[in-house]
Amino acid sequence: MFAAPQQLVDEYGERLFGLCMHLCRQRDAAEELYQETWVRVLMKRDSFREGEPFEPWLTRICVNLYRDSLRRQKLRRFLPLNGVESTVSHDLVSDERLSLMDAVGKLPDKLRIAVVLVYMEGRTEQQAADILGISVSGVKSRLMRAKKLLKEALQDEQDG
Amino acid sequence: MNRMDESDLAQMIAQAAAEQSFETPVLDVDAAVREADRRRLGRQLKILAVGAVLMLAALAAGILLVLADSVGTDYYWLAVATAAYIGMTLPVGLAAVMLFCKRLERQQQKGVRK
Repeated sequence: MFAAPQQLVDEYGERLFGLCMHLCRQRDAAEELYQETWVRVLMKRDSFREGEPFEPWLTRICVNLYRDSLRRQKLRRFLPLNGVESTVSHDLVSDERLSLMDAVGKLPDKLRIAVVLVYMEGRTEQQAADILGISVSGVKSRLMRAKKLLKEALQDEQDG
Repeated sequence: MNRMDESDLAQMIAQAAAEQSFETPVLDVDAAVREADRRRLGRQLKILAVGAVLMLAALAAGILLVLADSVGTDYYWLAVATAAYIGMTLPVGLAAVMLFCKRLERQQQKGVRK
C-alpha cells in the first residue's frame, strides 16, 4: 500500500534532498530535482508494487530524472564546490577534503553518480546497480575508474 | 596530500559527504499531488488525442471509399451528409482536447514549493 504523500515526504524528504544536492551541487538545481522527483513519484504511485522497498524506488526515480536532465543539458555541470550551499562552514572541512570533493565534481557523470550513490549516500554496490540498471561488476568498475581518476587528480594537484 | 590507498579515498569521500548538511525545502504536498494528477490526466488525454487522430484518418479513408462507391446510388446524399457531419465535429472535438492538453502543459510550469 502506498503511504500518504505527506508521510513519505516527512520520512524520506531530507535524505532525498541530500542526494539531490550531492548530484546537482547547486541549490536551485537540487530544489528543482527534489520537487520534480516527488511529482514523478506521485504520478507513478499506481505502478509502485506492494512489498517493494520504497527508498530504492524513490532514488531510482531521482537518479533517472537527473540523468535525463544531464542529457538535455538543463543542469550545469562540474560546478566548483564553493557553489554548493551547505550549512557546514568551510572552516570545518579541511582543504584536503575540499580538494577531494572538487575532484569528485569533475569526474565524468557516469562515474560521479556511482561515487555519489555508494560513497556519499552509503548504498551498497548491489543497490547502486539496481538503481542504475547495470550489473554489480559495472558499478565496481565505475568506482574503480573513479578512484583511479581521483587519485591522479589529487596527485597532480599535490605535484603542481 | 600524502599518497593514499583507494579505500582511504572512499572513506574520505564518505566523511566529507557526512560533514555536509542541507536545509531541506518545504514541499507543498497538496500542490504536488494536484500537479501529479494534472500531468497524469494530460498524458491520458494525449494518448486519447493520438487515438482520435488515427481514428479520424481511418474514418476519412472509409468515407472516401463509401463516397466513391456510392456515386449514382440512392444513399449517396446520406453518405455525403454523414461525411460532412463527421468531418466537422471530429476535428472540433480533437482541437478541444489539444487545447486542454496545452493548458495543462502551461500549468505544469507552476512550482509546488511552499
